[in-house]
Amino acid sequence: MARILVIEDEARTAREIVDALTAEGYAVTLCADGPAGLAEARAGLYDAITLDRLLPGLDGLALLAELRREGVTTPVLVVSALDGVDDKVRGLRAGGDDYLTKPFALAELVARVMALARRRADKPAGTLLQVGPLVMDLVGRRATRGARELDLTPREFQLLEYFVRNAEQTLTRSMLFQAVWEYGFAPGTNVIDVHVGRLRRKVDADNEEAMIRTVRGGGWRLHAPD
Amino acid sequence: MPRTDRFRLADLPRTTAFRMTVLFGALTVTVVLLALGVVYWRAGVFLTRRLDETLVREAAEFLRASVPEQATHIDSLVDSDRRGHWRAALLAPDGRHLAGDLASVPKELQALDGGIHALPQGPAPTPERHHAARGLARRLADGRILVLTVRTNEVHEVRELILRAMAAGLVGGVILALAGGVALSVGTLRRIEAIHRASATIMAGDLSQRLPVRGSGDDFDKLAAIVNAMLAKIEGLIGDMKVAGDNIAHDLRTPLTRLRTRLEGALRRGGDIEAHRAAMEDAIGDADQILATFRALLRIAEVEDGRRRAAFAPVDPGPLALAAADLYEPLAAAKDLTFTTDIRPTAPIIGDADLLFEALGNLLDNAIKFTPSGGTVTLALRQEAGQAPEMIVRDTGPGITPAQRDMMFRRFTRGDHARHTPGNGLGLSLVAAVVQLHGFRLAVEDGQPGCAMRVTLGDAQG
Repeated sequence: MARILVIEDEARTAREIVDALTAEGYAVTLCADGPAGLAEARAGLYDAITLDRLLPGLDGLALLAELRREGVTTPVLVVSALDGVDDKVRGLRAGGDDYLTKPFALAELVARVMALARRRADKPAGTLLQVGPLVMDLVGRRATRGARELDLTPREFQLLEYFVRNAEQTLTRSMLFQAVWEYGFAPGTNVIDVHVGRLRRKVDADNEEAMIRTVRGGGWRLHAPD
Repeated sequence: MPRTDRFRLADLPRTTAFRMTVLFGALTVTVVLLALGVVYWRAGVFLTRRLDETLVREAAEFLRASVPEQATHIDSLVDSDRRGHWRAALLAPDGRHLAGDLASVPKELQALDGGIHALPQGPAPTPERHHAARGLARRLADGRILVLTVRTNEVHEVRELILRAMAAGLVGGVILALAGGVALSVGTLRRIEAIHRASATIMAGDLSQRLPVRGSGDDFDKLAAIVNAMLAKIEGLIGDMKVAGDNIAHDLRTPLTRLRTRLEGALRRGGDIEAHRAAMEDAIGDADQILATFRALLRIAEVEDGRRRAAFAPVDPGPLALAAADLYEPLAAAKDLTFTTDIRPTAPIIGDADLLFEALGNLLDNAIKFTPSGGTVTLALRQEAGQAPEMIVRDTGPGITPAQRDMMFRRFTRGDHARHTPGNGLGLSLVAAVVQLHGFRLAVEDGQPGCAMRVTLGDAQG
């Protein structure tokens, strides 16, 4: 069972985060202040950490810097009410960590924590990716479902690759936008939905079991048919 | 009472005006003293040389007289000089006194070399009054000794005159410098006091107050003009903030009220778990919309902050336009709109790629949102020779009336036809903020039909 450390000082938010992650099957430990969180994180027994930016006793980013200085590589999701520090956010994402701005949807937080925990567990390498009947050839830029060749635009190919690399995980609109379009903001409209809808029509033919599934609370999941 | 509240004499020496005046006063006095010192020195040398010439001339005249007349010449020289400046003697070779009023050769002249020497104690061996003099003594061809001396009073008098002038200049200069310093400082302190009074009113909350300007165009006026311009800007910003605050209150109150009624209704109606679940999902939708509005507002504030200019870098508009077209084309297609692009290569621009992409996205999003099915949305990028690149988003929607154009970039302003279209009315405000941050220009034109938004990616002064 994957273990998650939640460092969050606001009691109610903390309880909701712990509940949501426990419901996904994680073992969750909660620390309510910076020093305690740092001590717990040092043990290095966790698969991912959610870290509030503003903590009593120690700033979240300082805590993260200290962890990295000590060689602890556990991926961290920084949660903050502060926005508008794009450079720092980009730095975090480049370093394998992630950043989420308050207020957030719990589904978004859970999806991002899962992505971080999974990233640590297995990183698919190589030029051939496969999820169930879906096979992607990254060199030949071809994708097939069973015997059927998928006719994808370059952007759709990128989108599907991200789904395949994160199969069985919930991916939210902003995760997809950041990963595929790589611009640093959240598009406000349903533009991502339209792209996913197009991709879905190509991946899931009428007579096939749906692989790209809508997740309640905002997002999609690539699911291998049983 | 704060220290600067009223004019105080003790503050005078601390003012810049006073210090400057005193400094310049000191400099002027030094220059005057130096000049007079040179005059003092040169006048002494000059007058002494004239006396020496007189001595030589007198000696020559004596020699021109015949020997018998020489004694008379000496006596008449001494007698005719009423002021007693001249003293002379003619002595026999054995030192006996023949004529004149000196009994012997003064000790400074005993070399009898005919040269001129200074006599600091005067010519007489024991003079009743000390008067410095200059003199010469020489042995004549027949062995007699000629002694001629002349007092140097005139030199001393002239020098004393110069010294007095120097003293008077010094005292007068110092007094003038101090008086000037005080006068200037009092003026300075008065103006500072006036500025302080005005600032106190401003700090108390009256932002319409301005610092006093005298109209003389002096340093204080220039400074006051700068501060006043700043105050005008701040006053404008605070006014904007108030308007924005009112708008936020208005625009958030509506969805918050809806959220509250919805929850209240669900509570009152009761029903099974499914009914409650549906109500909660609706409530989350409402809350999401409120949060999206908040996020958009914070985003605009962040852009308007201007700090993002620090991260400006060269951006190629072509790929940016292509990426935006790629992102929004499916949205247009889903609404049965024709989406066409006319993107040509242009020169790179300096800016923030994320913000420009977001702004262009908002323009496309708006165009798609407000164009009825079957219409067309066009994205064009082009650059005329010698001009800045232009990005144009054209649609065949209802268009914008001239009256609406002024309103549309204000926050939360939405056209009448937009009442039933989802959105928070902040998209164009963000576009305007991004354009302003970059110093670009945004024009809203009649698309005939529909509307064309033209962003000139260059200097707004163009």
